[in-house]
Amino acid sequence: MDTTTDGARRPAFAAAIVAAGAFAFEAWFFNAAGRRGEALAGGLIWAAFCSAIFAWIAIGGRPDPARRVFFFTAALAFIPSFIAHLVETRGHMAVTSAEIASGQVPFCHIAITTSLIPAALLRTLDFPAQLSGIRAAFYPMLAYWLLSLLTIGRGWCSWVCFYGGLEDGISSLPRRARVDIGPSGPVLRRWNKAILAFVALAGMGTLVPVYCDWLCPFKLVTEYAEPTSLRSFLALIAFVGLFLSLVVVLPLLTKKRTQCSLLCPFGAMQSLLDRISPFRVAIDTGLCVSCGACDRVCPMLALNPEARSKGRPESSCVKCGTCFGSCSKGAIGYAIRRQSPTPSLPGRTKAGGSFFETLLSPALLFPFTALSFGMIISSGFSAETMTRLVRLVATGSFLIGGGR
Amino acid sequence: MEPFLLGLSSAASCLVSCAPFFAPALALESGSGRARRSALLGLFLAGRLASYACVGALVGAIGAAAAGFLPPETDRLLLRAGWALGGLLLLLGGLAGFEGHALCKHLAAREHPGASALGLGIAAGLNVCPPFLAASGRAAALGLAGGAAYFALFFVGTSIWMLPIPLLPRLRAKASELRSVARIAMVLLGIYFLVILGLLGWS
Repeated sequence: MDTTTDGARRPAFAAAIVAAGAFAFEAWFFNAAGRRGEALAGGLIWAAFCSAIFAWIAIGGRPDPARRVFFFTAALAFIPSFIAHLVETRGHMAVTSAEIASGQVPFCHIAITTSLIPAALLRTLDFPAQLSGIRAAFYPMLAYWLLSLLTIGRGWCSWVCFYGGLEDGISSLPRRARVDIGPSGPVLRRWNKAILAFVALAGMGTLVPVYCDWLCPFKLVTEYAEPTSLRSFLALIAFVGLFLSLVVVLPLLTKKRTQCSLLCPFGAMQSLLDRISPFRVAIDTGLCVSCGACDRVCPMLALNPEARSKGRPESSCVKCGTCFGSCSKGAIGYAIRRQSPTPSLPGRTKAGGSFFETLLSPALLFPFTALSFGMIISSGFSAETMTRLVRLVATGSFLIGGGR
Repeated sequence: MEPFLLGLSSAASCLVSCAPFFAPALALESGSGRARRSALLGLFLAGRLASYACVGALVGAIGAAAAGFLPPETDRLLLRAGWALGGLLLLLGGLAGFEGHALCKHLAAREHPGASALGLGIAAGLNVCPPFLAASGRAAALGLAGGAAYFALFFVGTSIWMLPIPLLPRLRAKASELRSVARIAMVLLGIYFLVILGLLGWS
């Protein structure tokens, strides 16, 4: 082992130990209060998993594939937990008109795109959720989103969003893309901004969450309005069609996150507001040899020759770091504001800096911050899914109390 | 003074509910100067005033003699007519920006932003919202001329927050991208307003 690599690994090991402590504290803080002991145990197991993921990132010198393992696992943990909870409390996944009228639907972060302006100007929520009192209410989600915006920005879409995790995992399954949509990227990217404008304006005009009513593909794996009329039946067909096409078939064919790139209004909003975040992905134009390898692997259509020449990806970049591993020159990495990127190859990690400089470099600081947010959001449902799996093995039932 | 204050107190609500009608059209003009944007907003507001005055006169004329305010089915009809008209104008305006298809070229050749802004203002004026209902309740007792005057003053109060919009900075660098995003959004809004809300009445 050369001294450069060795010098870079000591702070990486130290960072992994610090992160393990922080994640264990988060698991205790968000799972212990007022909940069963098994929830805390599940939370601590999830914290150990996140610590292992961070150690893999820190010592490996790049986020992927460790990030993707975390992200996909969290998404897979979310779906059974959410659906099982619905079946236990309602007896089915469909949300009834009475539940909508009483505002008992958990608030989803994507609904911030339509709820924000009416809530700010009219103090009215256009989504049938509670304002406060539970974790899945409007104000807690708003506070969490604002905090993440100030730190990781659009990194939310590759480290926190449990919907994005599902698509990210599916898009990584095939070995190579069968359909190349790279060159159409700039034109296609305008679609999700247009969808954002559409859902925000239509929501303002009608005080109805239009995206949730008609366009959200993830209704299929969460909850949807009971199909009791032609309208709700057509909406269900739209959800099925969008899920199969944008979350399953197109990601498998293109290896791109098509729903996140083209449809998701929350992602578009994060792109527009990402400048608030201090972290960004940067390209060292001095090291870049314009081979285009990063363009091909970017799941978000954020890299192209023009972006590379500017030294930064397009605003659709979700800071996943998938491109880092494709660059043979180590020219792409995380950076703070307008600094040069921290090189992403393990043997090239800044060994010239002091221990603390390396420890606090964006290459370690961003994954730690992003994983912390991901851990906070996912620890509750991941712990619950683990508990349910144990129950399934012990009792043969995934449901707590057998459901209704 | 009362209708003006009623309008003023609900100006935020009016800004929010009218935004889908004027925001895309103004986004198309994000690279234009303030004079042009002011003129378009002026036409939008003129259309809105025309709608308000007509509704006020209608409410005043029939309301004094009958129910005292607009019956629910009339509200619903007005609302759907507003959505359908606004949706149609947004759809035509959005499609005019796409090249390649004969229909889009035909629409682009006949595109008239001023007339479109006026029409969208008329549609927005029919968007029955809670402050609008409150005003119609008061106008009902005032007769034809009184009702129209009441709604005209109500309109002035509701428009306060819209007046600074043309003063927003000109976006030359991003104007092309913004225009293309606005066109797509207009088509989507047009389809949603015209078909879902206007024709099918699924609000």
